Amino acid sequence: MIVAEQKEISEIINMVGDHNNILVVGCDTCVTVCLAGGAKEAAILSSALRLAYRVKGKEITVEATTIERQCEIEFVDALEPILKRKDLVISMGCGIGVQTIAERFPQLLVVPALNTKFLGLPEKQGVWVERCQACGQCVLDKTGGICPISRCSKSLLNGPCGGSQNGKCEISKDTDCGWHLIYERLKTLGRLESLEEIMPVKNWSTSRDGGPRKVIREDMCL
Amino acid sequence: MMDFTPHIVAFCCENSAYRAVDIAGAKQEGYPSNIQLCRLPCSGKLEINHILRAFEEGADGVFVFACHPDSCKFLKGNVRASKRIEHTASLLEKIGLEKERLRFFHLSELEWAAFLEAVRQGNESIKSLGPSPIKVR
Repeated sequence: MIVAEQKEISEIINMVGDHNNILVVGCDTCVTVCLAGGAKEAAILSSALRLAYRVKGKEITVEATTIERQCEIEFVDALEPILKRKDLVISMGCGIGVQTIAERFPQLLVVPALNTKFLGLPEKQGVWVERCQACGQCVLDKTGGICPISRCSKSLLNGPCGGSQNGKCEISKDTDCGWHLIYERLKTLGRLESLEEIMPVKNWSTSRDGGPRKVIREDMCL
Repeated sequence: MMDFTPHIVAFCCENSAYRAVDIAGAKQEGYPSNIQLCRLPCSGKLEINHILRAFEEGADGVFVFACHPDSCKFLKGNVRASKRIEHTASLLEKIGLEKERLRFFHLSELEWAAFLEAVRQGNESIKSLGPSPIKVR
């Protein structure tokens, strides 16, 4: 899922500025699971904004709503009747959600309440970790299901660097060496010989180096 | 010190503080009438939004009464409440409300006298802060 975290409230207050009829939009999908932008967080943010402005002696209208998915036009359409009276939308979706609302309602100012962090999973309650960088060319079949692009700090493809010490990465003693994990996993699977296959230089044009990406399924296009 | 009667909302776990209030009542030991009790099945049920809502509705102070550490009927409700209170206090400060308006207490059901003392002291500390800058009516 997409993992995000809420911006500092002071930054959000700056974005609100002089607007006074605001809609906070939560998203029921990834950001609900990572406790950053679901219905509960949308209610808290809207309440906090009303309080912050009242402390300054100003009344603003802040309503909160949540939609199933902010990253699909069909779901974003549901906002139309509520948005007519608003002068600012604060999206609590990921960066995709913010842009989907902005594209669907180009006459409205849409601002983000979250910083979108990475693609990952909840490791335990309150802790999320990165697992994928969406590089566009998956090599998990060669590495025992552990991603060298996201788990190795240098995204190396053919084994660890000299900074790997006792299974930890040189960037922090709390960070596992991705290639140590891969070695241990392949050893468990009895597939260490797959490490002898040299992975060629990666074509990063399928990742961010190739510019904005697009997937087209001709058979699905109408 | 400003002379005013603060409006205080006290969220009480029904397994400790709320029973303590009952005992105080049975002993005919009253508590200040400006304290509005709100019964919770466990302090862990308390959400950040409940606290913010209380301030929005005009509370000058919010008190939360949880069971003692390691005494929660639901094991970790009081720990979770404690973390949420810490987070909410930090949020209040960032939006311009004194974090001292939010207070957290541990209590057992038999500590009715401690409840009365906490309420009395808390009442005084909110009085010294003055009225909340947020008053809806």
